[in-house]
Amino acid sequence: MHDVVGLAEERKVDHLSTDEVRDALRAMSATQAAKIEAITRWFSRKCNVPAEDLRQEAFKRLLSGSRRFPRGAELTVIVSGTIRSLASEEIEAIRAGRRKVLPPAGSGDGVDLPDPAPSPEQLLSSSRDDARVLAAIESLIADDEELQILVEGICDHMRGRQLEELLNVDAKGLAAIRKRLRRKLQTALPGGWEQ
Amino acid sequence: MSGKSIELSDRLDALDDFFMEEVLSSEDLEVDAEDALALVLADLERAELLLRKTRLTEIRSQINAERATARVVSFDPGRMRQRLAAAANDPNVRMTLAARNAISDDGDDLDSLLEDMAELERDAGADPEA
Repeated sequence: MHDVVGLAEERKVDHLSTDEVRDALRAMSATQAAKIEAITRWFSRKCNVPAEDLRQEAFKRLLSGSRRFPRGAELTVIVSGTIRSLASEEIEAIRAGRRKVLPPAGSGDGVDLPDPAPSPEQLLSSSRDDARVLAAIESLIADDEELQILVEGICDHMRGRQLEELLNVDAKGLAAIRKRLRRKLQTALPGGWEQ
Repeated sequence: MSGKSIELSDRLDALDDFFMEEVLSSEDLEVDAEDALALVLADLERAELLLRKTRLTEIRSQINAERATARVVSFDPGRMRQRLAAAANDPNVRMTLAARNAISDDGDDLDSLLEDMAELERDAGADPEA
C-alpha cells in the first residue's frame, strides 16, 4: 500500500504557477513565436477562426490556469497543443450547430441558426469540409508524386522506417521530403482551404 | 459521424500530427521570425488585457451580489446599553476600562460598539433575551 502511495506521489506532475506561465510566455524567442504562428495558421484554416483569436484564447487559458503548463515542458508544445484543442472544440461546436454557419466566400453574411441541433445539411457540410480540406491538400501536391505517397503513408499512420521503405529513401531522404511537404502546407493557401 | 467522415477526420488528424511534429522540430521555418514574435507578443498582451477585464467584471459582480444580499442589522440602542452595562459589571467579561465606563470622546464610538454587539448576536444566531 505504501509503495502504491509512493508511486502516485512520484507521478504527481508539477505545474507552473500562473505568474510563471506569464513570465515564460513573455520570454519566448523569435524562433518559438514563428513555430506558434505557423501552427496557429494551420489550425485557423481548419476551424475557420482567425489566427489571432485562436492564439489569444490559448494564451488566456494558459494565463488563467484553466489549461495547465507542466514544469519543464517545451513552451511551443504546450501552446500548440492548446491551440489544437481549441480548434477541435470549435469544429465540434460547428458540427453541433452552436456556431454560425459560414457561407462560401462572397455570398454574404453568416446566418445565425436559432436551433442548436445540427441540420442534415450542416452535418453533410461538416463531413464535406474534411473532404474539401483533403482535396485542397491533394491538389497542392498533384505535381509531386513523392509528396502524394508521403501523404498517403502519413494518413495511414506510418512512421519513420515504414515511410522510408514506402518512399524507398533513407532517413535523410525522408527528412527532405517531409520538409518539402511541410513547406507546401505552410505557405500554400494563406487565406484558408476554401481558396 | 458516419464511417466515411470518421475516416476523413482521422486522415486529417494524422496530417495535423505530421505538420505539428515538422514545425516543432524545425529550426528554420523560412519566415521572418521577428515579425512572428511581434505578432504573437501582441496577442499575448491582448490576452492579458482581456483576462484582467474579465477578472474586473467578476469582482464587480461579486461586490454587487454581496451588496444586494447584505442584511440590515436593526437593534434597540436602549436594550444594548443595558446589556453593555451588565457586561461592564461582570468581572468575567474581558473589556477595556474605557468600554466598562462607556467613556468615549466621540459618540460614534459607542454607537459603533453597540452595533458590533448587535451584529455578534445576529451572527451567533441567538438572542438570549429574545
